[in-house]
Amino acid sequence: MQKYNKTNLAYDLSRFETKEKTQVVKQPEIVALPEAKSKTGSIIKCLLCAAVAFGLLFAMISNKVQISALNDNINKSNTAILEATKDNARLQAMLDSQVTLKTIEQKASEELGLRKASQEQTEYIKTDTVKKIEVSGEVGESNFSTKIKNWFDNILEYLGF
Amino acid sequence: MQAAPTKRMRFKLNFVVLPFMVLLAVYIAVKLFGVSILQSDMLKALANSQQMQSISIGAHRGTIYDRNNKVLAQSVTVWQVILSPRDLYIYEKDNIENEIEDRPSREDICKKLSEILEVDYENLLERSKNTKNAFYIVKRKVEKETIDKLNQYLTENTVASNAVYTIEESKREYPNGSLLSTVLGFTNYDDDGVYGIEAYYNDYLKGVDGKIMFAKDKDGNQMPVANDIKYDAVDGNSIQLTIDEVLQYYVEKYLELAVTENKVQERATAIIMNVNTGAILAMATTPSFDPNSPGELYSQTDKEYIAQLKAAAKDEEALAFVESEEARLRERQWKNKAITELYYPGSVFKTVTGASALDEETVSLESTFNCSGSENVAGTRIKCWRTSGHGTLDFTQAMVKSCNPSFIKIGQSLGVSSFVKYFKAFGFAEKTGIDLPGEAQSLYVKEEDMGPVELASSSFGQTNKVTAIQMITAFAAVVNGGKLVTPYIVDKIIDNNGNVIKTTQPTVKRQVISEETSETMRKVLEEVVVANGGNNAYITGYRLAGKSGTSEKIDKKNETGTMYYVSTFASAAPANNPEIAMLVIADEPTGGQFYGSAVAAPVVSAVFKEGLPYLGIHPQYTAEELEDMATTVPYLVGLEAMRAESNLTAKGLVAEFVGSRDGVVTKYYPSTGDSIPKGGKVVIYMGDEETQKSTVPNVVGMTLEEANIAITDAGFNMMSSGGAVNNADAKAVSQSVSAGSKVPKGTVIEVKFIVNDETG
Repeated sequence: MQKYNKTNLAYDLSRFETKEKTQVVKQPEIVALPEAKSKTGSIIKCLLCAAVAFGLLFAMISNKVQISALNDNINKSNTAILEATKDNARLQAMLDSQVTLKTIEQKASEELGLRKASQEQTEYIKTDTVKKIEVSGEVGESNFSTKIKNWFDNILEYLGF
Repeated sequence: MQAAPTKRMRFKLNFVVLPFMVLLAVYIAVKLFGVSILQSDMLKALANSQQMQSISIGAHRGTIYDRNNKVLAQSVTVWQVILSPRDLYIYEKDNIENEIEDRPSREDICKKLSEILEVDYENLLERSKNTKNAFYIVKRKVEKETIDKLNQYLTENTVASNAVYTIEESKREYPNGSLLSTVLGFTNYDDDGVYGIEAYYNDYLKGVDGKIMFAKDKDGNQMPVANDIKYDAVDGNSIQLTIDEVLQYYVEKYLELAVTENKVQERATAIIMNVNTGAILAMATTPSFDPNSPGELYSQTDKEYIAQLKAAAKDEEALAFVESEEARLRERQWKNKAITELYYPGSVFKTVTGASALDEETVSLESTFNCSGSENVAGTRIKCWRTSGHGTLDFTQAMVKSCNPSFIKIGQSLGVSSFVKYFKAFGFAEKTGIDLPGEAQSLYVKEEDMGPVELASSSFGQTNKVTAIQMITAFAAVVNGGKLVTPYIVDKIIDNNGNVIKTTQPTVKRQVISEETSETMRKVLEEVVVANGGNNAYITGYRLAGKSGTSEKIDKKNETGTMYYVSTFASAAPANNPEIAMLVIADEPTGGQFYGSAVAAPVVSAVFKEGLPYLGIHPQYTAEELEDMATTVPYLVGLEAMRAESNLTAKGLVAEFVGSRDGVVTKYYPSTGDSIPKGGKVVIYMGDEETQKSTVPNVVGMTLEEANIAITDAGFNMMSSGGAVNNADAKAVSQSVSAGSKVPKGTVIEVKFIVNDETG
């Protein structure tokens, strides 16, 4: 009767008691963390980023303002050119109306006492209408001294004098 | 630990909140779709109208130039002055509320505006009181000087810029005034062409307005942003005409003289055309008008006529008649007579009849014709202008003497069918196609209606009515080798970048007569001008071909009972190789002379005398002509008598000394530079002698010989002028110094001689 538990143990009532659960406290695993960066550095970076951002924003706005100002100048100049062109046309028309052929003839005859040239005051000269080509250089015979002179002139010309 | 959502909560979430959110989302989505897609255009437009403003940029009308790029018409900037009664009221109210005393009141502003702009003050003040109105045009087409004055006043007095302001617009300027006015036409207030080139080429000349769109603030001021939207104005294209301004001036000058001297009632017209290309070098109608103020009557005669009618008008009916007459005369002055009015061509048409008969070989130069003073055609007696008859004439003589019976026979030799064939071939049955508006269609007898009487009268230029442009085109075909060209007046059209976008090419419609016939006609027509010592168109040193015409206005005679005439002359130069042709028509001369050779031919002569050298066609004198040519008085002051005399002798002149020959020349008549005929006398004074004077005789109506004797006997020199001066039939018609005047002896008196008949 080995199979029966023959002990002299009393009923171990503790076996029937609610066992207290024992919490196994796991020890936290300690992992060495890298050293936290100093807060000062990150602030500087932020500031720098902010500065860059503001700088870019400022540049864009300034760019827009400048472009607007330049466009304004261009428009003003174009307007001025247009005005000047129109003024020119108007003044030219005024000038043209003062110097018509009729006005000129009237002024010439009535105020200045001029007369138109009559037929007999014009003398027509008939010229030779044959087409001809002129060739520069010696014409006709030249004497010995002229030849020497021409030769000397050619040398000087060649030398650049 | 958080409690899980209960069933109730889940129910609320799924069946209350979620559907509500979904519905809201759908609603928002639909609204967004509606606003951003369906209504986007409308809302964009609304936003633009609120935030954007546009200014119109007016486009200028293209410029019109002559063949040498001289400006004939151009657009200049002018302004409209706008008053906003509503804003003026606000401005005034503002001043009162803020007790600003040094700013002008409404009355002050209106008074100043009326002063500067020359408008009615009371009317302007009344308009300014209508405060519902924000736009009232005070005046249009205001010039810069006036606008500058106005702006100065507005600036100095800080008048609100939205109460009184200006808007740019355009005005057409014609710097040469009435020159070429009937051809150019004019524009209306909206800058659209009315009449002439301005109307015909309006689509090319008119530009396209531009626009600038910009953002505005709440006060309506422009905000300077980079993205203004600009649509540039496109100015109109410019036009270059074939007209020569200088030739045009010569034509108008001498035409005006002829109209005044001959009291022409129904205006005169003249055309100069290049016979080979059809290019019109000059086209004038006198009297015309000033296109700078087309609404005003220009002719002094018309003004006087209306003034007389107004003075005599007693009742409303009479006043209405005056108004209608004024309107009729105003419209008449705008019309280009050269293309819009019909006339009987008269004897100028004989060039066409003669050329047709020669070409058809029904007559030759050797053919003879008998003139007894009239011709009986199918029971109708048709008279010659020379009622005593010309006797027997050959073809050339018939043309020179302009014999009607001869040309009746020439026409009969052609027959109706051939006559009509050539009539149509020369372009008289159709419009020429010139690029001007209002060309009239000729009135002519059709072949089926032409009987022997109609054929007879048509042969010498009566019965059929044609336009001046048709006549000169046909005349050009007679002399240019037989080619009928299309006349044109616009040479090229240029865009505002200087690129030529259209050019007119000369067009030959057809060959009407042969080259040989044309050459024969040139010789015959040259003979017309030189025969009998020269006709009124003859110019020493030039070979001209020409033909005069005097037609009777039978239709007007039937209406009024009085006969009126149309005087014409057609000419081509140089006769041996014509380059240009000219036609002059004077409608109803009432100054005593009415023959074409007396009224129209001198105009051609005067224009060609100045115009041909300008065109580079210079005179070629024969030795005889050079010998007979006048000379000029040389400078003689301070010379001794012998020296003065020899200087004069060298020029073929005679010296006549008054008083002693001692000393030096102090004065003489005629003066230095004056033209004097060879053999003329120069009266010389050597000291303080009193100038000897004599009375000028009246030589009008005398022959050359008679006038010369009368003038030289009185102690003067005579200078004869006029193409027909050597013609035995020529008589004096005018003298440069009026009869009865006392002038110094030796003075040159110019006497004009003309032949006053149909010859030539």
